[in-house]
Amino acid sequence: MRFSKRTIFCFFILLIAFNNCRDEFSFTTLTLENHLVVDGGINDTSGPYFLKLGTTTSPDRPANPLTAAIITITDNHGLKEAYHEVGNGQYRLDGTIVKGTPGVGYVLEISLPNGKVYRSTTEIMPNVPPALDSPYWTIVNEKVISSEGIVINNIMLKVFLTSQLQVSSTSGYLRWGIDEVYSIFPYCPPNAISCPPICYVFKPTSSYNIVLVKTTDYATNSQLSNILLQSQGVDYTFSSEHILNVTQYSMNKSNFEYWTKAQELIMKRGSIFDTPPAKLTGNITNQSDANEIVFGYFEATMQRINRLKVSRGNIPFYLVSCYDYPERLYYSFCQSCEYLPGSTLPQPSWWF
Amino acid sequence: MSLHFLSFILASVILACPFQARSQERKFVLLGDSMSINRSNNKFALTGTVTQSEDNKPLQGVALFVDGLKYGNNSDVNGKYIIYLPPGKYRLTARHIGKVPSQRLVAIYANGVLDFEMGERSETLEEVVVTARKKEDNIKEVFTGMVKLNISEIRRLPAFMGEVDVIKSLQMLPGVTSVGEGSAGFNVRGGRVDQNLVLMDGGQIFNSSHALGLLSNFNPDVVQDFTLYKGNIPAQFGGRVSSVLELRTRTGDMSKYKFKGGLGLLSGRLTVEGPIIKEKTSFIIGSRISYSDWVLRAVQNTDVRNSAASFYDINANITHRFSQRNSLSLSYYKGHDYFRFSNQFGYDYTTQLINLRWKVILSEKFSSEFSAVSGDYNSKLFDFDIANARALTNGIKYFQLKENFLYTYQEKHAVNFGAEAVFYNGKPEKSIPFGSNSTTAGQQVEKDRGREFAAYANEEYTVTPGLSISGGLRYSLYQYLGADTVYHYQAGQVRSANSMTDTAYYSNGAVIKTYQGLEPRVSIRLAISPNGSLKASYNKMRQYIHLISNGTAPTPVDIWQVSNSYILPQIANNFSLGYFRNTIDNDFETSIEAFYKLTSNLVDYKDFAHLLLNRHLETELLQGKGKSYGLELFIKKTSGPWTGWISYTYSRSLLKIDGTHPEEKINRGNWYPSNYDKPNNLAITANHKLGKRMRFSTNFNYSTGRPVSAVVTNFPAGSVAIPVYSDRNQYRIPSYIRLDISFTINSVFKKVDDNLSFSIYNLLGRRNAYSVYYQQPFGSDALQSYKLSILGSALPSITYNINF
Repeated sequence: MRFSKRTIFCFFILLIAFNNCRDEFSFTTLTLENHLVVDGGINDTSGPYFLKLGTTTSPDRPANPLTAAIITITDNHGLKEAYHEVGNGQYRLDGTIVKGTPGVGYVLEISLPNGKVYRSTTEIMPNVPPALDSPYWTIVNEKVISSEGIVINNIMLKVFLTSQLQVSSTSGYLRWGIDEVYSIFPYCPPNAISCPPICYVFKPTSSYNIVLVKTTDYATNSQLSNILLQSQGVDYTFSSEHILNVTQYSMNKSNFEYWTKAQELIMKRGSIFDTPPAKLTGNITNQSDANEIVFGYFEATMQRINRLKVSRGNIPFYLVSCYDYPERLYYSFCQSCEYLPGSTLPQPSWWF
Repeated sequence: MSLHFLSFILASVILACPFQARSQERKFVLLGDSMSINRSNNKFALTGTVTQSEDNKPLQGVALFVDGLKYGNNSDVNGKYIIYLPPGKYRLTARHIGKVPSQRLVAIYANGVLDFEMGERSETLEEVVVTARKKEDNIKEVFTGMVKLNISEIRRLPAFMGEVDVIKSLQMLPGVTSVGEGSAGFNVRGGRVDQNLVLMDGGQIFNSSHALGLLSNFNPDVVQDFTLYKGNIPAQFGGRVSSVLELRTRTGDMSKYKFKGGLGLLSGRLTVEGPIIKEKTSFIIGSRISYSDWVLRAVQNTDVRNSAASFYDINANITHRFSQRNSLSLSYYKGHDYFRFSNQFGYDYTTQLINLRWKVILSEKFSSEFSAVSGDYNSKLFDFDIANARALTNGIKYFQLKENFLYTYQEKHAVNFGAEAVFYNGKPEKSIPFGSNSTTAGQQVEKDRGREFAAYANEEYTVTPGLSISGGLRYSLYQYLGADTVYHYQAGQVRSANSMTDTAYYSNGAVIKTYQGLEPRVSIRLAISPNGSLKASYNKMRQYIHLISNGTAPTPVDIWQVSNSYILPQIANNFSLGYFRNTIDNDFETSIEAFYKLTSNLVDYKDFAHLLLNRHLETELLQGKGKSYGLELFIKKTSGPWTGWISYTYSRSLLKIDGTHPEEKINRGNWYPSNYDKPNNLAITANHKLGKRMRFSTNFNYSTGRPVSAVVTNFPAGSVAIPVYSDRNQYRIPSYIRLDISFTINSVFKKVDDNLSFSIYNLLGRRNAYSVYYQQPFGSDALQSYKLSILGSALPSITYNINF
């Protein structure tokens, strides 16, 4: 009750000074539908390389997958290779002919069933030394005060990055991202003849940070210290093993500028410091109608991946699992986890 | 003593000394100078000066009435007045808001001089008066769109956090709005914030806000009065295209020491004044300081507990009176704000002003005022992130000289003429790393310099009692100065880093670019009945300095940028037309005013413009046309137990940026609403006096929501949903509604001039939207819209004020 009595004096300061008075709000607008979305690119690994196609829909829904497109990639040595449709708007390039090589330029071409042809600008894969990353994670208890004045303890997993920037005569443009894979052990009754298989669930990310660095903004041989990459609540996905893939992307300048604008758009919180928003378009255009709006960026990047493992034993409190009752009955994935979105049965080759 | 003998004595004194000694109240005074009898119309000129008893400072706007004749006049800026009367006996009354009325019985037989000295009236004795002007001034004043208020009037409005506020009171008047709570500055008749010339004793203020615009930086204990020109702007003012807010601060009491202060929950204030040499030299020092950190420390959220928010301001003035005609005044102002959010970010900004003014009354008709002002504005934005720890600084300095002469002839002519010069010096923008772990590189970008000269003359001419004209002409000349490096761009191409072809270096003091032009100002008043008049005005204004602010509203860290080779001066043509009518013995003032303004070279920004530490801002800016128009309705009740006003404004503010290339167009070159385009605005203010000691006040505010760009779809980039926004400002946030109340008890303690004020700001606790934004909720692959409110509840406050 101590807080409640003070609320009358404190509440307005919180609201005035820290802009934390936000409410979900239904804002009806016209929607910009059926515009092509391209998401993906090529990198300096041996492949395969993936690309997603979709079309825009309403703001509160993800893009609709776009199927039956014919996609090819051509490098500036004249090599050309086609993508194969995997399903759900995803296409795979095997990399048998065209490989991701630093310093090489790539052009993407997309032909849709309606006859429209789209082409990217030539994307040059940069050739600058990547930074040496040392990511780490930690678990913290964050106290949050609800609008009713109740203190809530949130157990959060935070991923930080420390990275040594490399000396280079040219600017380096870096981006970091995290994707996650966790394992699920479905419930296996005692004395069962066969148990449901273990699943490995791929999860894009749990936070929506875009971390960008232009190396010339930093002093020579600078070390980036303790940059927060991700913050997420600890939930059932940590009930067995959870791997965080921290990927560093080295980009060219125009790709970096694109992501800088994307970062600006997703960081808007409505404060007076927010700049007016605008449409973000990428490097792909309709070959017969240059004014058509196309979203997304076909990128050519160098990648370096660091993997972090969080085991159930690292969590400082008891986490329910499929072996707890009644959870094992309540959660359908405790019987069979194959139907979780992103779930696969084969163990990833890099699992440790 | 016989009447004839008294007449003889007084006449002798008048002949010997044209400046009559002050007469005693309620004693019969004979006035006349036989050498200056006006035989042509058998009327004599009664002139004099009205001063404040506290500091002998001339008092402007005092209403002098002649009882029985329903005739009178107002004192001018030098406190001087003139009334023509036929021989006879009269009772003359002088009234001014916040002053004890003064009455004199006079017998006129020739031209004469009668000075008035008016003392301050304590709050407990005040009548409920809602105007600083004579009641019918609104129909007799030649200017359109002019608002005069003094601090006693705004004290009657409900206070925010216990502080009465100049800017918030202006926002209750027609044609004055803001983007929303927490935004600095104010918008007048569809103009941008930087288009308002804010003058404190003649010195320009570049940021008029404390606490991100929640309060203005004008201490109510030091401000004497203020005038907002939003329609016709006299030629003695220039440099901004929308409005002029002219504030005058008080000078110290010449005869005795006085203290004035107030204590609230979050801030306190104290003002001390008094004589240094009695009746010759006085001082006044006033300060406000906030102490809100104790509240932050009481909150359990770690980020909030580690945060800080504070401000202070100081006003100081020393005035020396060499004689009743000759005074010198030195003023100093400093306002400072500091804000830090946990270990994430912070800012501070400081405004300083030093002002020297020399006023001389050269003759009965001729006076002069010289001022020299040095202004300095600094702002810093802090990034406390360990690896990126740095401070981004910017600011501007200026030095201003102005000489204004006022010539008055009879009561028909008042001519202001003079010249001014302002030298603007943009401070370098710097990125300064701090802390041993900061890895950011230091950067510095030099900013531009320029000087502005102007000469002007403006006459107010009363042709007949029913027709008056104010006409003026201002010539302004601006020069963009070296040392600077000017970038050249490929002809026919969009200005960008990629189209740069060359650079040219100009040495220190070299004139790089010159802009100049005439600025005519005209206003006409035509009385169409004893209680009604029509007014019309036209202004042309030029503005050579711009606030580069690519946010929804100005922030303290925005950049003041002078015109250069590429950033052209803004030029506006303002038209207004109004009908003013008073009813029921002037107890009700009503008006309807229409305005139309066309502005060229209005600044807006390219998509994703980067303004900080940018050596070539012109590559990020676009200039185009602006137009605003509207209709203002105003009804004011000036006497009785209930006083107050209702104001309604319908106005639009639109922009058109239609460059040659697609990148130089906004919304494909079509007209679009500005960030502050809020078509409907309704403000209601009411005051009710409850006996002699108590007063109740209330405000009600309604306005259309401001325009925003809304998300119309999204697309994935990796795991992130990127929002896609509509054309600029095509949607609106919900309407703004706010109700405030206050209750004031005077004389809390016996024999003490004090009061206790309770107020509740936003009584309805309405969460008015400031903005709408979009976020990807945890686990979602699409976007959710949120409404951000700056104030989320009713804000009660209590303040104790005392004068002694």
